[in-house]
Amino acid sequence: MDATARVEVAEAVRPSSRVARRRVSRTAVRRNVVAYLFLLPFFVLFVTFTAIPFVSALWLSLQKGLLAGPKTFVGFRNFAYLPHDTITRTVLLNTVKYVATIVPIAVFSALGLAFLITNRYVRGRDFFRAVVYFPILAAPAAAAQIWSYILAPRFGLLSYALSALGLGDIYFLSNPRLALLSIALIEWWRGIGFHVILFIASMIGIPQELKEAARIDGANAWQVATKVTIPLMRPVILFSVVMGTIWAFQLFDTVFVLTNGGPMNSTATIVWYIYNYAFRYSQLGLAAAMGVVLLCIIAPISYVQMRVLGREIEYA
Amino acid sequence: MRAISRRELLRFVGIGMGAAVLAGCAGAPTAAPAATEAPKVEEKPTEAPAATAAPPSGEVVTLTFWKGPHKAAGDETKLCAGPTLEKFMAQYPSIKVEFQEVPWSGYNEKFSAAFAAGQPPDVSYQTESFPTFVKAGNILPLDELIAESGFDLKVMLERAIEIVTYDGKIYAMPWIEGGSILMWNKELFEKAGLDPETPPDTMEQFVDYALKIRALGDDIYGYAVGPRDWHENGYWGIRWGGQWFNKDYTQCLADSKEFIEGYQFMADLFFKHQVAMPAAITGQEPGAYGYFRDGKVGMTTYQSIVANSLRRDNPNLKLGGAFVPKGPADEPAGRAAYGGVGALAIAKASKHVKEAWTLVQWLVTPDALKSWLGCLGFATARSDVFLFQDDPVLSVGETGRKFHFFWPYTEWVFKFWDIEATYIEAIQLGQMKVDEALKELTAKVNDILKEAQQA
Repeated sequence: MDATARVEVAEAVRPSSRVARRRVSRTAVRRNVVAYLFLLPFFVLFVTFTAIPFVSALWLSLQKGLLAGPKTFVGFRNFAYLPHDTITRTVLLNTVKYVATIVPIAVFSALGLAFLITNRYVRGRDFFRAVVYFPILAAPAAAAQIWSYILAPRFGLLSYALSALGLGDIYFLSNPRLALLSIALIEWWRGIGFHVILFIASMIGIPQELKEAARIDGANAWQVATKVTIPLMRPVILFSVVMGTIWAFQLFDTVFVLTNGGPMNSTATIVWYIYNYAFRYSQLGLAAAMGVVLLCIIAPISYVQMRVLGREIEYA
Repeated sequence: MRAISRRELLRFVGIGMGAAVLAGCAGAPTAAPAATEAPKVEEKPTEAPAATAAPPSGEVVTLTFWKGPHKAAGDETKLCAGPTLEKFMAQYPSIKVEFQEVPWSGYNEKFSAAFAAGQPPDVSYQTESFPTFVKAGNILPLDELIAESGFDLKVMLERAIEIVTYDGKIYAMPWIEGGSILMWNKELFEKAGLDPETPPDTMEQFVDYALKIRALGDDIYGYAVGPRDWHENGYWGIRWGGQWFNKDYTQCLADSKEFIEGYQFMADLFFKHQVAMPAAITGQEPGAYGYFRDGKVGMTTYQSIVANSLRRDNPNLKLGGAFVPKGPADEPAGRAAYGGVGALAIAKASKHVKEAWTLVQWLVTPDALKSWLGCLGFATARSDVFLFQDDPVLSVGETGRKFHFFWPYTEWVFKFWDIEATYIEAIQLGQMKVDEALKELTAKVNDILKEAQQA
């Protein structure tokens, strides 16, 4: 069918009147009513637990008042206050430092682990897969509590091991230069399983013929990995990076349990700050404003990540 | 889930950026005021007995009562609260009390949510976060109930009444008065050649004793305190004659000569004399408490109730308790230590105000105080009730009330504590010099005081 013929057919079937259009629309709705019914529970939950709180948070960021009391509209004053607050700059810097550390380390190490676990020469792959995934199952606060004893000076497991090596006590959580790095280490341990499992699933899904073709063409293992496997994993890596970044920006539980922002605010993060403003200082408007700022940081970063990593892959 | 299109995302980011730009143009924000006024204590001839509150229909009224847990004696609900409230319910069969421990970690959240939902507990235990709820209009003023029932406020500590008074109205009944004391390990004293029954009385003696204990071994220290313990670290300047704030809380005075001297003395314990356990160690598990409990530290300061925790956790610990050694300032400031008031409040939204008031009144009677606070190890907010005369450590918390300095019960106190803890921690970790830390601290605290005034 050429282009002219297609246009003619379209003209013929197009309803010529409002009544006809309405009839088509009703038919379409009737045909899809079951689908809408299936979607309804999701939309109810989405509106109740995501959309309404989101709009409420935006509205709260323009208000001033206590957590459980009357509030007054103050426009953008809460946003204007943030740069003047005592530790806003510190929490932003800490959070960015943390994200810049944890995301690349987590993604690269997860890739490495995924390659190791899927290697055909490795025995007990299921066992390693389970071992890597287990930390995710631990409640964040409980895991943090366990780590507080592992990292404790003098009697902590890690300190004990380091002392045995003649390195002496390292104050992981009370040294301002080490505390954030220690938190990153714990979060890496806790979150690595998610990335590894994703990558393993993605690797298994890559057709073997492509790898074999590369090998026949003379590619070594490194070249197969970097030229075939990783490029084909790009959508999953993108997902991993975006989710890792969002989670990293939301760091809270481990900080709250282990250091409560200390020492000297060196582990104070944006969400910790939001919590403090909302529930300790009872300044809900400022907390909501900081939440909006966090959104404004995460959204463009995620967008850029999607643009950079989400490009179409073409194979010659 | 539908993918967000590029156009939508750009629109969304644009709104965010616009908000940020507009925010930059907006005026300075304001914060809430901290209004305290001298209380008007009504003179009543007698101490009020617990009022009766039998509803005319004969039905049983159920009161909810929330309190943060104090674990010093063990399970508070089972050992202290439960038996006490059983006595109350036996005396008042028409009132049933449902007691609930609310973890401190989520205390404000839970109360805020309950008040916001209009379903708060009828009676609640309130501490420093109390002013927030008063300002939000969640707490019932007690003045009318006090007047109607003839309750004699004179039996309560006057300073405790001041703490719960806002704009001339009393919003809660003081119940607990907790305060810090010096605790020492008698065994380490003996090993160091010191008299185990005689604690240091002055700061010079304190250093001398600490040096002797420190000489006992590389892992034994004369003194320990948590670097972020804003209560225990907050009084060095006062012991040297300084004050945190001026009288109307419009200015922070922590950069004064007295404060610098006091905190320099504290810093010297860490770096000059090296008798204090390094803050890097006490800042992690098991903390100053754990090392003191385990016999690695000679002296520390804690709320007197902690004695019960120590006795439970290490029954072999030979514990001594005394007033804090005297600094250069005259008494009581020279022996200044942390003090705090826990009070009983009635929610404005309570449907059973009369019954709630009956419970509150009853809980501050000597018998009820003995049953509950005596079990916990807390001193009471009554000036005429002493529960621990036979206990050499807990009694110090009661007899040393005049040395207890209360933090201001204001909406900004948590923010102040966070700033205080950060800078004192910096001093103890050796990251900042005393004078520069106090100067920065003062500037930051003055900022929050200014915000409070502007509100």
